[in-house]
Amino acid sequence: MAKILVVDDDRNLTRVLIEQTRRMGHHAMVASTMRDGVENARLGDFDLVLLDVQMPDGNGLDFLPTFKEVASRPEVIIVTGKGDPAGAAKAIKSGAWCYIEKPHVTKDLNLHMARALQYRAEKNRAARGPVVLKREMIIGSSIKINHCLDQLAQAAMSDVSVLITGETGTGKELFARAIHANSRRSAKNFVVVDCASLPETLIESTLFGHEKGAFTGADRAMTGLVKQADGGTLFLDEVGELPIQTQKAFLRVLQEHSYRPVGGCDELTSDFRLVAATNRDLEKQVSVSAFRKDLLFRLKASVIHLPPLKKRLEDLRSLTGYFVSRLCERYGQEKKEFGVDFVATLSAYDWPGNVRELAQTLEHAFSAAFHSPTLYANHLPDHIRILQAQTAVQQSKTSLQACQIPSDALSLPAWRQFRDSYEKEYLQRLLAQTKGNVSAASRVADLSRTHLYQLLAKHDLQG
Amino acid sequence: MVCLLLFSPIMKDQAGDYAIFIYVRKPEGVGEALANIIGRAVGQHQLTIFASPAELTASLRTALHNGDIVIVQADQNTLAELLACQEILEISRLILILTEINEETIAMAHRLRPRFLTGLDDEFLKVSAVLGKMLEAAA
Repeated sequence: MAKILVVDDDRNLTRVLIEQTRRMGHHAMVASTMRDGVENARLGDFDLVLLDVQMPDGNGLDFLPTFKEVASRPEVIIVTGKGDPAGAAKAIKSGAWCYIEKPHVTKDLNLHMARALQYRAEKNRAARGPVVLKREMIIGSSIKINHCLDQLAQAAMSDVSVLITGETGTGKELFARAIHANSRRSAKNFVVVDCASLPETLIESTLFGHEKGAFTGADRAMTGLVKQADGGTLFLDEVGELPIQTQKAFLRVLQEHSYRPVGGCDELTSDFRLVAATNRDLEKQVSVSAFRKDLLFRLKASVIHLPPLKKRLEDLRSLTGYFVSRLCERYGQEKKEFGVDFVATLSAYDWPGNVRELAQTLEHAFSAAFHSPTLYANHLPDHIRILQAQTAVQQSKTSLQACQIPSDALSLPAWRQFRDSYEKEYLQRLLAQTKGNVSAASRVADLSRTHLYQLLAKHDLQG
Repeated sequence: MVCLLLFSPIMKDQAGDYAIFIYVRKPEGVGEALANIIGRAVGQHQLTIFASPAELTASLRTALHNGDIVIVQADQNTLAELLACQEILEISRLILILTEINEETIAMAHRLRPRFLTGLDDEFLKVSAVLGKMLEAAA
């Protein structure tokens, strides 16, 4: 029996839904406001939430991430009076199981609910597999990185090909290594193929090996990386750089697990698990015939998309702590502290080079503060400090403008716009002051945790 | 014969020169040929030659930066030395040239996660080509 929460203010419909879920052998409960819905979801151990979009105190699509993040991580089915394509897209992107319009709900719900609950049961069974995930230096505990770690854990349990996407410096190789380290293949080789560094003329002999005398300089036979990955994992880094000819040869290896070394007559076999990574949009490359559609189809049996650092700034402090302590260890120094301004300045920057750029920046700051026990913002490179200073000036200007209500009524902003901009700024300061701790923030602001969560969700902020 | 080289394309200075560090235990024969080929591949950039593996390892601890390239001609003993400072090498791009090709040595080499792995016997044309491509990407 599953536990289902119905968040809807339409009494007639909720009666029907309750009856329908009971007939399927499940236990259902109703919340007629968003506030109650969020509160109940936090307190109860629900498997599934049926969430209405138009509620008196909020939009279901805006609150969908809040429901997905409660402890029981329920599946969510959106039930809407007026469906629209943009709403459906937003729902699916935010992790909804499906999006049903109310006129069809009694007809369609049973099937969707049964599938969602079956998926959840299988996911929970699978999650009982590995007890501790080896993180392989993946730092952070933000919702976004935890979601990626969940995907990693799932991928590690099977042998399916995994495609890891994300901007440069987001940690794609770390994830690939962690998939290998947590898989049944961990005792065998993890073999890296750096597709971006291999000249086209060398790719085939490097991957498949060569016989003696196969080409000038081949003084003796050499095994290829595909063979060296036998029983283990083959990691194709920057797979988008693989030339189209090699893609064809590689596709054959993936399909048949057999290949022929350069200059060789015999077919060889290799049982490897494939993990690939790219910062390119491979779908786009397929559309311009730069990447084979059939190979992409093979690669993306499972996809993990890593977020850029600017989308998980709540991990900045732990990442900074990790890198600085590694530097202290490397240079035999005592542990260094951070000044209050240090992480604030790092947070104001948008990190186009992601975690790799952060590591390089911290190296710079570390050498600038080599003899100082504390890292201050003035140890950071100028371009980061300048940006922080400019942002601060801009913010204080905006605050000043917001406070000084102009005498000319025509230039007054709309009340809601004025209130929202002020509200967001308050919440940002509150989170900064309480280091993102929602309990502490709710005490300082004298708001209930539920109300605070609602406000954070409204402004796309995370505690 | 063991030959270790390290250079730093990412941390190039304002003038655009790269810092390059080389260790060649006995700069003759194969080691010398490898040093010459790599010297040609890196062109005008400054080279520093180290006198011992310990000196090189010590230098890795202080001079290695994110994205630097490290080239090592290695047997099992050298691989064991490198595995001892694996955490430092994590931030570099490693090219390994193995002096002995067998399953055990190859498995040891992959624990260091090299970006390119090859043998001694091809006049270092592969190393030179891969290095050229890495430098091209970093430029």
